[in-house]
Amino acid sequence: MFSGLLAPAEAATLLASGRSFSVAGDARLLEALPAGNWIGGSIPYFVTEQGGECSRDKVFLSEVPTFGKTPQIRFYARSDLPRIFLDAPENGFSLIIIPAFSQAHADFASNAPEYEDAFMKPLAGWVAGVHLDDLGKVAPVVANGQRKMLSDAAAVVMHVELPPEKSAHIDIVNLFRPGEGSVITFAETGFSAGDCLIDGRPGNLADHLLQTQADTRLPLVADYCGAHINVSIRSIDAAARRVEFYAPVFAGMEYRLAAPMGDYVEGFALAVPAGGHASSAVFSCNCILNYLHCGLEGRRVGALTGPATFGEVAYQLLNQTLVYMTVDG
Amino acid sequence: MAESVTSIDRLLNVGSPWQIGDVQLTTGGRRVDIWIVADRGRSWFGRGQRLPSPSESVVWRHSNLCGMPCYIHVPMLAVGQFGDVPWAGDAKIPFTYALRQEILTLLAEGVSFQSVCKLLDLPLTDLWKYKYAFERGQAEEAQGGEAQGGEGGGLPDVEHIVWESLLDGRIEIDVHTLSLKLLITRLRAQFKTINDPGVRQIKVRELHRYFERHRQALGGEIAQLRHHQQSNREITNV
Repeated sequence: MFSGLLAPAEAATLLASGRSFSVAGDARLLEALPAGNWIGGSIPYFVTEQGGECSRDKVFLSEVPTFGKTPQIRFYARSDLPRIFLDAPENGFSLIIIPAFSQAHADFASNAPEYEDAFMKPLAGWVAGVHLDDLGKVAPVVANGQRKMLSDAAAVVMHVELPPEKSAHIDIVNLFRPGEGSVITFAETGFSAGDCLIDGRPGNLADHLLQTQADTRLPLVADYCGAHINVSIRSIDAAARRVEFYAPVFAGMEYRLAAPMGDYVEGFALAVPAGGHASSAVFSCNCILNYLHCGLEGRRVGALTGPATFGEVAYQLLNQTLVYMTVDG
Repeated sequence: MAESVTSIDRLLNVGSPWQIGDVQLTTGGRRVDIWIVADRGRSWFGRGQRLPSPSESVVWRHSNLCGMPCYIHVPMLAVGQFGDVPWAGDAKIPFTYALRQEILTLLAEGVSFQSVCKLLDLPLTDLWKYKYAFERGQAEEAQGGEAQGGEGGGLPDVEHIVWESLLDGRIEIDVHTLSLKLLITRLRAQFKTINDPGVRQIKVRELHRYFERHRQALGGEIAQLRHHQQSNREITNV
């Protein structure tokens, strides 16, 4: 299974071969690629076997195991997203790419856990973005290779059916752990918050983060039955006393600011030993914030390679987390 | 001895048609052995109230008596005729029902195997034997099948209280699958806000459906549910 960064011409040859791929690269390059069994999303940041790399001239291809079958690829508009798990094959997996800042992004982020059959069938993927220099100027896009179409509004999904003896498994690597600070809970689900409960008492998150001089490169972390799920802090508006997030905080969940972390690369090597189960992953992606805050550019991070994204999907939207999928059996 | 035996009869709740045949304290009072035999008028193949020899006996470790490890000796031929009395057990499992209930309660509270052994003064090998038998379904077979409804593969029936208990947080299990961690978290959050029994049952069925669908990957989680299922039954029985 091929996985790596290629020049557009090399990528075009592979995509025209009939094999199936997930593609990441600059929107201009995606648009020029030939039709084929592939989905794509815009992003110029990658984690390769040689280390983190930013490139507007190359595309990252992850071959998708389809075992001789043609995958079903389709766009999901915001109103179609609740069907995503129902449309997935009974035995297989689905890969999703969502354009950042779109309505589909907002809807999926807030509601995916409530979709019919959520968590019943494997769903992995990522949120397409742009070069940080282009933030606010260019809209992220996703691509349907079978139809050779781009969209900045709908998500694109590849549904793959597996033979009965095969099964797909999705897992995450999150090096952040809840810190020793206050427990924060919110009354409402949303991408921003102000008033909340801090250690059970009414408070304001923006005030709290500023007063405690919190390192806002660290995410808020919630414990989902042992899985640590991050919500990354995008900005603090001191005047409006509100905090913006890269994923929604959920009403009723208990969050803590993550504990400071040592060197990401060293921590990652401990969490994902070389030659372990994760090293056989057929798909993985990591977060642009890990790429930036943890200084991954030019540094090798184990065997898990892929795009550095504006959000990761493992059944639901995640932040500052590595997602990977294996196919066993 | 007759008076003390009568007191221990009461202490252990041994009643007709059974009685205490003998009680022996080892030197230094570090262990108590109790023989239970048929009472007057009952006998097996003429053996009657005679204390069985070791080769004719089954020995179960019972709940500690006054801090001392307690062993119950019964005639091998009588095993299976005691019913669900707390001092009895099954031929293949080295513990009485009462001690099994204690073990399962501690394990359900998240106490480690090593700590259970330390707290109850049990050999680790015996506890592993019990766990092995339990997970192979021998415990259920010895008790005549799933008392509260079961189905193939050891998955508790959807009607069993263990599912609702998992969702309302009365019990916890170690989960190793990301999708199940996320699903339980979401269902628990919903359970907190739902009072209607019908809607709660829908959530229970969703969780059960997940387990059915992913049964092959959830051996560890299902074994823990069965521990809780067994614990619940034994609490009811004893």
